[in-house]
Amino acid sequence: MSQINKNLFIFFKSILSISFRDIKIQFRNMSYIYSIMIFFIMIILIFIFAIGPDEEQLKVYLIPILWSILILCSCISINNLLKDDYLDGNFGIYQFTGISFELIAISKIFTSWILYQLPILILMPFIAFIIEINETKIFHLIITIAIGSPILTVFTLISSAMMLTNSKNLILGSIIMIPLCIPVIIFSIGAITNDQELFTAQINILLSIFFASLAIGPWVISGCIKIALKN
Amino acid sequence: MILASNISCKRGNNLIFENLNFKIEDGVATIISGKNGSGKTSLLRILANLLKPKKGDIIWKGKSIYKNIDEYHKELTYIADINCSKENLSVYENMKFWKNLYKSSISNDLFLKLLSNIDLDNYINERVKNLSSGQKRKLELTRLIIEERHTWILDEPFLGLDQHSVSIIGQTISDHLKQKGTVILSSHIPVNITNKTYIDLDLHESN
Repeated sequence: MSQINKNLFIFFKSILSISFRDIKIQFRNMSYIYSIMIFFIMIILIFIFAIGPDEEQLKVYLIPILWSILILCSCISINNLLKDDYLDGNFGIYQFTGISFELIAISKIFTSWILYQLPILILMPFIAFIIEINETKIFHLIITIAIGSPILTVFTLISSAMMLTNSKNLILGSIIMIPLCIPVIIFSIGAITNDQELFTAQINILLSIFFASLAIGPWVISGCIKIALKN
Repeated sequence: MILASNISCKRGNNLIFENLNFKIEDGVATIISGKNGSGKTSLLRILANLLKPKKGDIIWKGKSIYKNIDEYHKELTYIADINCSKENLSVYENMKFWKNLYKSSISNDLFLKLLSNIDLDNYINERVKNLSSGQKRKLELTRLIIEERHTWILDEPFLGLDQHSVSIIGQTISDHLKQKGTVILSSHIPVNITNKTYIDLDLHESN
């Protein structure tokens, strides 16, 4: 029994080593994460200036805008998530480790969420507070982003995996990803703007999309990586 | 022992080679030679199952590798012609990552000995991006020892190495062969390996 536990420990250590390495590399290149956060804040400012001084109108449009910017920020990182490991041959050597690409995809989902979505999730309450969204809506916004951002990460990685062999038409990744995000944005904004009863229902739908994407996503990502490797 | 049976390779519209048959024996280094574009890298990638041949089969332990792929992969170390070490990590961090990834039993003392043998011991905490191309290649080749595998597939392993390093890697390959390991490599640089055989792809060139 202890031998099985030891083997399991070594196996998970092996998978986690991929996540920890990716996080370490990105932490040494923090400018990329800062850039995404600054981009996020600047686009909010652009919308605030575009809407003008009408506070009521701002409060109506701001939540859909925040969610749209979140999707745009996810689109930016599409070409950064898997391409390095593909180009420097790391995906090739992962084949010989005995770890399935599905598990590697789960590790990548976890890392990408930590690196690119968590900072925005942390930033969100401050932004919402500064632009005077009421407390209940801030709470709802954070819940929808906490559930919705991992879904966006999965979609981003699917798009990123599909784009591995494509080095020219980089906008294609966003074109693949954005339609997938439509249900997420509908139910997330619906949950925030509707009353409490509908909030629970819409959160349940979001949760079902979350679990479905986590169940299907790793297989799709792994399939795309395998196809890219054989090319 | 690995047997290649009637392998053909097509890249785009070009048939690179066809009906290639050969045998790779344990304890003998198989050196794949040929001019540029003759398909050396493609053949090595086919042997590592990173590329599907247009037709033909690779037989290992009496079975097609495609029917026994997981076991076959666990026997392989593949060193590509590009380095897979991460530029923003140090030499030690890259080696530690490979150790964990391949569940290797190699100790830290052996790490240091290994680095000392290839003159990288002074660079252990240096980031890979600050190393020369030869040093990066030497770091890549430490995977041969770290991964502890039976079959080594090496694509231009001596690229950018000085003569001293070439002879050290040649000696490492010879030691592996003495332990009945399998080595398949392509190289334009002559190397002193005791027991070797050649596959000349120019003789199998398809027109």
